[in-house]
Amino acid sequence: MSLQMDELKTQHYDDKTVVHFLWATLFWGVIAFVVGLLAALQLSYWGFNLNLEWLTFGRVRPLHTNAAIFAFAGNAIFAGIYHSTQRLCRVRMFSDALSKIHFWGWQLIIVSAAITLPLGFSQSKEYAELEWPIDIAITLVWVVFAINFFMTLKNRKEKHMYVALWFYIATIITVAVLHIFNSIEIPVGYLNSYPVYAGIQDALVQWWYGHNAVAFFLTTPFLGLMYYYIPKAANRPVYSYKLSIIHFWALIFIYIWAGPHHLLNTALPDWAQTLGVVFSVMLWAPSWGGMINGILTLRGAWDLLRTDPIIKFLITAVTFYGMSTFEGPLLSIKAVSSLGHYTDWIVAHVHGGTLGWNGFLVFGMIYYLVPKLYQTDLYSKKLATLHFWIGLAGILIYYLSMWAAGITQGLMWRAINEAGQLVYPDFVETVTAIVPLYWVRALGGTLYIIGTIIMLYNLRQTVKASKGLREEKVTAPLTERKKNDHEDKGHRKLEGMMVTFSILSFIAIAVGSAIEIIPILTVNDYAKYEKVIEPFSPLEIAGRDIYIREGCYTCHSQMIRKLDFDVLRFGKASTIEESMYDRPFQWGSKRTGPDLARVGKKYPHLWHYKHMENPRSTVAGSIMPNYPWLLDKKTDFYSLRRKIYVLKSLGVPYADEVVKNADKVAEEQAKIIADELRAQGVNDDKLEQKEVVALIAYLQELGQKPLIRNINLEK
Amino acid sequence: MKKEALSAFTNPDMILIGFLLFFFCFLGVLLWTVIVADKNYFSKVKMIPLTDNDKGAKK
Ligand code: HEC
Repeated sequence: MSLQMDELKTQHYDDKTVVHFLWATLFWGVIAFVVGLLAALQLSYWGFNLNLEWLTFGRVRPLHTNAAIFAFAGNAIFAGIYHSTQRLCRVRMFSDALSKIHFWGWQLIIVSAAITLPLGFSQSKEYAELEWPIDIAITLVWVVFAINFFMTLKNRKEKHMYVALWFYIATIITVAVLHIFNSIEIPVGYLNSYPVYAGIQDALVQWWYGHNAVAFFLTTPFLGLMYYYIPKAANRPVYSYKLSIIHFWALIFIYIWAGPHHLLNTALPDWAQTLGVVFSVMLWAPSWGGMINGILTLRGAWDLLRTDPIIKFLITAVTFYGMSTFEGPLLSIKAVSSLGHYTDWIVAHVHGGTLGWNGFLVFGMIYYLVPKLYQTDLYSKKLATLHFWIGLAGILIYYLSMWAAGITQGLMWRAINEAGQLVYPDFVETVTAIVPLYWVRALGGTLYIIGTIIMLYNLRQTVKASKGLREEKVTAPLTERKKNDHEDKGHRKLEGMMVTFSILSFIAIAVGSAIEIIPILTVNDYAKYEKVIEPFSPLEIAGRDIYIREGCYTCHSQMIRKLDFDVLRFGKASTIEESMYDRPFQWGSKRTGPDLARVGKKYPHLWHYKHMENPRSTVAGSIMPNYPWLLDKKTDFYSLRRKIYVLKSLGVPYADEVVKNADKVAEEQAKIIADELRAQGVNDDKLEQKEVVALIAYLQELGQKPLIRNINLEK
Repeated sequence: MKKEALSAFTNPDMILIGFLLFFFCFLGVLLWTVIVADKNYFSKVKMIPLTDNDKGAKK
């Protein structure tokens, strides 16, 4: 009996899993967008955080990016991959059980992210903020997915692996490599850890990861989906299969090198910067090759662009892909980067890619899939078209406002008068100038959300009118695959060989990664140098961990670039050794507030105390959030022994007495700062225990540490 | 200290090797698809997504 049922099952595709991932995409999509809007509104008016620590910008921003990338885009990718892989292989997914574990495992990871990020558990590495237990869970679920996928390929009845499958293979392999190498960390608590890399190494590994998360989570899987769903929706084959082969190999080989373009004009060595620039500019070619291939698939059927909302979404998505991949290489040119980096121009660029390319491709795919899986017609084509136009208006408003904000602020930062002085020396001036544009941006985001809600309604009506989900029957392959097929040669043969193909893809991404990263990892032996930077004291480390918990890095950089106007505003350019013990590094990527690399001793303790309680009490017009809870919460002195111990074992030159008495040493330093604050009028007899004191201790030492003799050498 | 660190960083040979590797792989793929390519074969595999018995998107 059960054997019969199994047999019956294998004659059908597993569409239940597809549908589960689809609904998860929509559910998390709305949440990701709304959280994004919340973050956006807080930059227009800080009070939108309701003075709640869980909702402040520094904690909500990672929640938004993680939800958008891993929950919205992630679930969408899985839906598309499960649906198209089965059909391209002409076989049901390898294991229903693995599919279930994959689905529920992934949702569990998302839920744990949605809980831990607002609580402040964060590694502060962008798009890799989740703490170590969740990192392990991600690895396990990814392995489950990989087994399920590769076994399906192995079981396939169709001889040739269609181009979409290659992109999926590259995605699965590369994401695994990126995630594992960027997450090597040492736990210092159940939900805290320090990365093994420090300073510049951490920066380079992080942006190798960060950039390639965009490449291999938001680009290659979506290109696979493009190569499947555009031909499906237009009912005509892809424009050029040859072009798709060149597109694939060139893209995965080049993309992996481009990470350093996130670190231009910084303390990163010039050769690594140059490498990043050259390969970023080269990326333009395969990207546009892919775009042209996608769009020209419509040749001879351009009228669909007018009549079919699905095609509208898909082709617009590919157009946005083309625009983003034009802008990306442009922003990678050092001179352009000097204007755009740290500003909202980058935010504009990212949202052109995510809202336009990823979002619209997902919407097009869903409008195609839902009626097909439920074997009915879309409830309303008109509403889908309305969604398209509202969504498009939303993206354009978002993009143009942030583009204007970024360039305006970038120009204000660099404006120098004839006397050689900054025209806008007050940073906050350059912020208030663009706040109106933050309101406009929020309007764009709102429109995008309205469009999505219209879609939800449309889909609900569609499903309601259907007879429910019915799994489709597996069809006969175009060319049956026989074991031990020896006729084919060259790439054609390669496409038949899953294992060899996967290994070659791995080599393609491994070469770039190794050449870029290994030289920088080999300077790991800082321990050999005679002079090193004085490490942060235990109290300062406690303060630093608060800085990370609150996500201050989402608004503040700690990297003064080698550019005149940066030096004029913030002081001497940052050096490699200044952050050599920083775990994780805090170079930042966005300056909503000023750079803090040399903020130490710029203001008295009391200024910081008041500024943290309410920034507007010291700086009129500031959009920084209030942090009143730092004045109440107690510093976690107890965990410092373990933290300092771990740091020392990673090579930071702490004396043994400091490690043993880390908490005592910290309490003594806290007492001195608290006494000073009390003398200046702060009324709190338990002040030394409060987090604000630890944070002030840290802030006051930024850029102040001298070079010292390396005590590690003396043993 | 900075100089010491930087001297360990400079590694132009590796850049050159990487670039040449990319270049020749790329050339290989390019020549392969353009010269060895079998047109009929490509026009056949192109059809894989469109031959799985469904009638295409409902219009
Ligand atoms: C929403 C973005 C945002 C976040 C998050 C944020 N800040 Fe700020 N910060 C600003 C802005 C804008 C300014 C400039 C106006 C001002 O001084 O208040 C600023 C200024 C500062 C200054 C003064 C710098 C100077 O040179 O005058 C310090 C110090 C500072 N922030 C520390 C922090 C710390 C510590 C955190 C985390 C607990 C934090 N900020 C989080 C936006 C932010």
